[in-house]
Amino acid sequence: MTRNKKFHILNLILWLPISAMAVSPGTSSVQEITTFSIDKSKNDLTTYFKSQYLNQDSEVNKANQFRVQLGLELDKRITDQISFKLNTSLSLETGNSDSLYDNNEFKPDNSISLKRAEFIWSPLAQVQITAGALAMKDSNHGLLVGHGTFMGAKESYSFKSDNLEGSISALQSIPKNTNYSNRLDEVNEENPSFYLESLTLKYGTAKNNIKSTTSHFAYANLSNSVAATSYYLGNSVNLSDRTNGEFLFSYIGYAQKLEAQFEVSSFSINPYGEYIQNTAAPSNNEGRVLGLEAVYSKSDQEYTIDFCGFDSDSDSSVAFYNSSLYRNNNKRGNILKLKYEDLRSQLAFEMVLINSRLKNSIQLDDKNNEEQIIGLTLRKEYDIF
Amino acid sequence: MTFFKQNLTFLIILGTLVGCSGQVQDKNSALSNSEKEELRTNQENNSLEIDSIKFESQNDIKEDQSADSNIISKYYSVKVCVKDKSIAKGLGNRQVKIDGEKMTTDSSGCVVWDHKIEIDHTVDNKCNVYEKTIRFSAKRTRKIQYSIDYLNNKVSDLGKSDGCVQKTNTTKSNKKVSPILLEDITLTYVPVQTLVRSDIRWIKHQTKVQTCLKVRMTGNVLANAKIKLTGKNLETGEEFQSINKSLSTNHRGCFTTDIVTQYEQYRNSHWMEVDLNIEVQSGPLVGTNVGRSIFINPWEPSRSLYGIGEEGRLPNEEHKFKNDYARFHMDGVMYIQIGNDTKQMTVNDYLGLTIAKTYQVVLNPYIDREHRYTNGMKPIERLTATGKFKLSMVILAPKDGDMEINKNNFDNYDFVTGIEQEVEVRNGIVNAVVNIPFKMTDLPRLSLRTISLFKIEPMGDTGLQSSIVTGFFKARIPWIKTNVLPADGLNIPDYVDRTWKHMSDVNTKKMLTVDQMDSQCSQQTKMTTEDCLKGVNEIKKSGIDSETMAYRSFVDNMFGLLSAQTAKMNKPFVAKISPKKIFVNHLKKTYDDIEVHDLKTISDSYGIKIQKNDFDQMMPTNQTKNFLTKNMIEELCRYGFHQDGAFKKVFGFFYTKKSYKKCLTNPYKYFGVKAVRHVEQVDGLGESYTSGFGIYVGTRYGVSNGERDAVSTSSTWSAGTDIGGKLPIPLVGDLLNLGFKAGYSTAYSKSHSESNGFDYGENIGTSKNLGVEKFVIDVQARMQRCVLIKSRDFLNTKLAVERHSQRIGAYPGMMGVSAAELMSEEYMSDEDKAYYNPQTNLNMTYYICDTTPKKETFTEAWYFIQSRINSPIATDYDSVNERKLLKVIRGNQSYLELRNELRKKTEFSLLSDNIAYNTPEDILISSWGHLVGKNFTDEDAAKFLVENVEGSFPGTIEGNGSTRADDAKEIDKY
Repeated sequence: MTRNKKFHILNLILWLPISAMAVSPGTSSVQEITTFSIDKSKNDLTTYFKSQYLNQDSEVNKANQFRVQLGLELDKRITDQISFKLNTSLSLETGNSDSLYDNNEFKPDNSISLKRAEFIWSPLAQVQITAGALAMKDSNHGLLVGHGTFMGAKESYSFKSDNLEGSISALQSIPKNTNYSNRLDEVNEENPSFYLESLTLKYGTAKNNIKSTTSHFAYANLSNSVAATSYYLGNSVNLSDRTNGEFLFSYIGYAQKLEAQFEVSSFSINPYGEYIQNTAAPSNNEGRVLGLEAVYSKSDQEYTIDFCGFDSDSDSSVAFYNSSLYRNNNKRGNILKLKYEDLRSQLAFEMVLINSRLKNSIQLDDKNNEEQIIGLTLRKEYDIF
Repeated sequence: MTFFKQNLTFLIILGTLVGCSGQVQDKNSALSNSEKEELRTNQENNSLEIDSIKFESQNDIKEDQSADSNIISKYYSVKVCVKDKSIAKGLGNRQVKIDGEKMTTDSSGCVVWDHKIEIDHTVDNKCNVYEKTIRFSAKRTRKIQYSIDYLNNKVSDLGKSDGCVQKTNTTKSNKKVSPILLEDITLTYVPVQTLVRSDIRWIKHQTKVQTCLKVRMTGNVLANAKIKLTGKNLETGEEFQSINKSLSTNHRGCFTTDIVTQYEQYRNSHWMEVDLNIEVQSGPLVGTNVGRSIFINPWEPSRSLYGIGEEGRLPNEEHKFKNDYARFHMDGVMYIQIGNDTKQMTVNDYLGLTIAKTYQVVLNPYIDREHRYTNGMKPIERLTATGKFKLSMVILAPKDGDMEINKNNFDNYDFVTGIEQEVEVRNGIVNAVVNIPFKMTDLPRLSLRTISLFKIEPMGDTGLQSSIVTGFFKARIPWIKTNVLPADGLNIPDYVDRTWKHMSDVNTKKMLTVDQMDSQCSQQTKMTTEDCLKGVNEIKKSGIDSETMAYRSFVDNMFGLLSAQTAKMNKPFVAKISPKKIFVNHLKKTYDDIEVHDLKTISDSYGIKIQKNDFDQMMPTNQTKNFLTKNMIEELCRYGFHQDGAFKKVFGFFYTKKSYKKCLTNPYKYFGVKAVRHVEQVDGLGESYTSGFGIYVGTRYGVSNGERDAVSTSSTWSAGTDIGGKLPIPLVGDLLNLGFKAGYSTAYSKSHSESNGFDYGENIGTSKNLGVEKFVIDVQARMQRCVLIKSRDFLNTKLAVERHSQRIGAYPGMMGVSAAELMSEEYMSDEDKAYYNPQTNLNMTYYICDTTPKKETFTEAWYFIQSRINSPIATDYDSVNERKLLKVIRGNQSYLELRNELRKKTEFSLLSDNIAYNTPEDILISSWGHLVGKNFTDEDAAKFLVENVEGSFPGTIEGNGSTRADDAKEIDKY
């Protein structure tokens, strides 16, 4: 163990109580409220420590949660053409949650989660075939899928010219289904599927560019439990009981995301917008996000402020899978993010404020359908190798 | 190149993979967008579920605490458990509003509320549907619909099942079903309540009603409930209530009570439909009704089946009655001649006498009910109950020798007399004394065979049908029981009458056969088709034809006119002509130059002073003396022979031959005189009596050639019977014709009788008895007193002797004869007879009357003379064709003359005995029409003449009155 490593271990040990004291952010068993991207292209093993505090307050759900998360990231090139990526974490949570429907996504839980386990094969420079447990956040459609991990394969073809680069990709996956029933008389369902085909175009320089991601998606054979859970998250579901249900509509549609980046000296202004439509639903089938991110960089330090408004219809996408940052479905609201990151010490702090309200209270009647979430997250990474 | 191939290959593979999402099918692809929206709508609000609904508790509320009391309501506590599948903690212990009422769920999420359901005992659907709103919050609100079937104590969530709500395709009975079950009704006859009389229509009787009631819904008995039993007789319309007004069922739901209803005692036996209605007046079924149509037959209470009270059971009416009501039935009528009711005799102004014969009529009325269902009960039964009825009797006389009246000969009969009388049935017998008025002039006809029609009918409308029977009536027989003859044609039901009338109305031009009648019943008619067809059926069955109907109409008319006819008995045809005028009319026919004077005019014209006292002397009480008073002799002789008379010169011419003095001493040689009373008005009747005696006539050599249509024959020899020889007045045969009027039997007929043949002499060579019935009455009347004075014609002795001999040929005193007899032979001395006629004629023919009428009482006698015969075999004693001597005469003197002549000149009288001779009306008019002048039509004249007694002028009294002493002498002579 090198000295540096010892330091990291020490740091890790020290951070635990500190994070706890600082009400560190964590990941819930379902989703996590964070924008951290850990998928930096590295060729070695990295651990990270994340502490998260979250407060949720609404008429229906109330939660105070503290989580600590220890993660392990590995990015290993195995051959010239094949590499392997892994991201797994251990989450320990405590706190309290109160939910009218007993469906609080922020219910304290302890879990080990696999966030990413991908084998990447690049037979050609333009071609990349990824298989394994794929991190869905790569799809870059928060309104469609969030931070979940789907088992599947993804094929992409990239191209690049002077100022234009792009890729087309196709994803075939089996969505995560956390709670299959083990009952004997269970109806045998087919495996759920998620298909996503995307065309990504990016135009501009590294500092000033516009990026467009256009996708077509389709879910198939979604499970009853997913439907039941999604019911509480805003989808239109025929609920059979608390754990079983059936989606009213299929989820087949389009997603579009536009991002831009404009850097002026140390500032970077990044407007972004996202739109999704589920064509299988007759109405209430759209989702929109419009936001602006401003980043100030000073040496190794970045300060980010991000504000966006979101509006997600009840049946625009599957609530179980999409990003809980946008409060899943049937919600509209604003998100304010403040973030500080010290790249040198690989330390980051983030505060997220989400204010949302129910769009229409079809399924669940809540007198006051406003919800406030405050999330505080501290993250520290340690390079082990 | 390799690079390119690899890229291309990859892109192709990628291209296929890109299509993966496109292959995912929208599971709702078959639905349109709007249908998809419906999915969303359906999904709304279904998170709150009704987990269960059940009764928490259930209690029956009874009328009282007794075991058999009826349930009146039920309490239910309904427990509804709700859940929300989206709420993990459940809905326990939460505030909830049930239809706005705040409640709290129990730990299981259940709420309990109550229902009180009043039991509806009808058999309507017992399904009550309720709706409640369960509200936890605005969106967590649910309406629950549930049904409670309180009959079966079931609650059902209508969201999950139909519960007790009847589905629309459930076949329902349209019949309104009573909530009460009525068991079989037992009906028992209880004897009648009314004092049964035979002349009342309605009889009240009692019926015991026993039955039980159940509550249809539960099948339990309806115990201890107050009920009200009412009913309506559908036939009579009578509404009634049970005798026991406060009626209750017992603990077994049964009751026994009585009803009193009435029925028409004379309806024929049949079932009456009665609607019974039972209304519950207490308990859970209060206000509900149950009813049933029952049938009772009170006409045959002894029948094993008196009433039908079972549900759905109908009586079987086998017998089709000809009449709805029973009809009188008479087997025979007995009548006993009691005598003459002299108090009831009447005399009219023309001295026409109507006597009253008293009969006792005895008959046993029966009623014919056509059919009886009970064994041993005869359809015809004695009418035993007391009651009053109207008995009508009409006596008809045949114009010819008809025996029995029927539809073919009824117009050969004339009405003679009749009575209508209220009679009473006692112990099944009508025993009535009736006075039958007989006109004296009808006695000849009544002594022959007559037909009687009896009709007995109820006084009021009791429903009993009258009955007409025919029989024979023989006034001369003191006791007879006539077995009445069937007269079916006279007793047909009313609907036959109406049917017949309908047929004749519809078909005015042609007669229908009975087969054609059926189709005519459908024509527009005032009667029902059913009645019409019934009528046609009866017409067919009984062979009713137009003759039958005419016969019926004739008889109806006879009875209908009975009252008027009876009145006519007492007041015969009234002529607007005074008896004096009648007499004068006759005189004028005899004497062309007769002058009619009263005391003043005879004095003014001729100076003949006649005093009232003269009349008094000539017409003392009850007597008539044809003589001249001293005053009259002086006045007449003076006028005849003195110079101051109008005939002075004439007298002067004879004066030397016949002296005035001779006139005074022997006035009757010069004047004939006859005193006459004319009735002006009969004021009243005094003493009266009747008597009878016989005249024996010895063996005669009687010959008859009475060829009946030879009018001239009759005229010829009747002239020889005139007694007018006493006065030198030429008399014509016409007078004698009237003398035979008594035999005339077709009084009002204008038609000449066509009867032919000889009337053989009566009992040639045998003796003969004549019976005489005498009616004597003191007639109190205002009379005009007149005297006919006729100067005598010259007549030589030879002629006088001849006339005298002629006079002996017949009986005097008959009408007409008396007019010529100015002085009876009795008043003439032998000397007078020798000088019967003077040699001169003073040409005086005066009819002088007193100025004012005088009220006096005159005892007048009427005689009815008939031949007596003992048990004839060959001859029909009662035939109008074969009875010879039947005469009615008025006046004592007429009788005496007839008697004397019968004794003296039997051969003549026998020849003239043929009373059966049908004198035609024109003979009557031509002979005697002058009496009534031209004021009458021929028909009226004939009526008038026929109605008045022969042998005297109508209203005129010529002879001496009758006295009992006279009668005693008469009997001594006999």
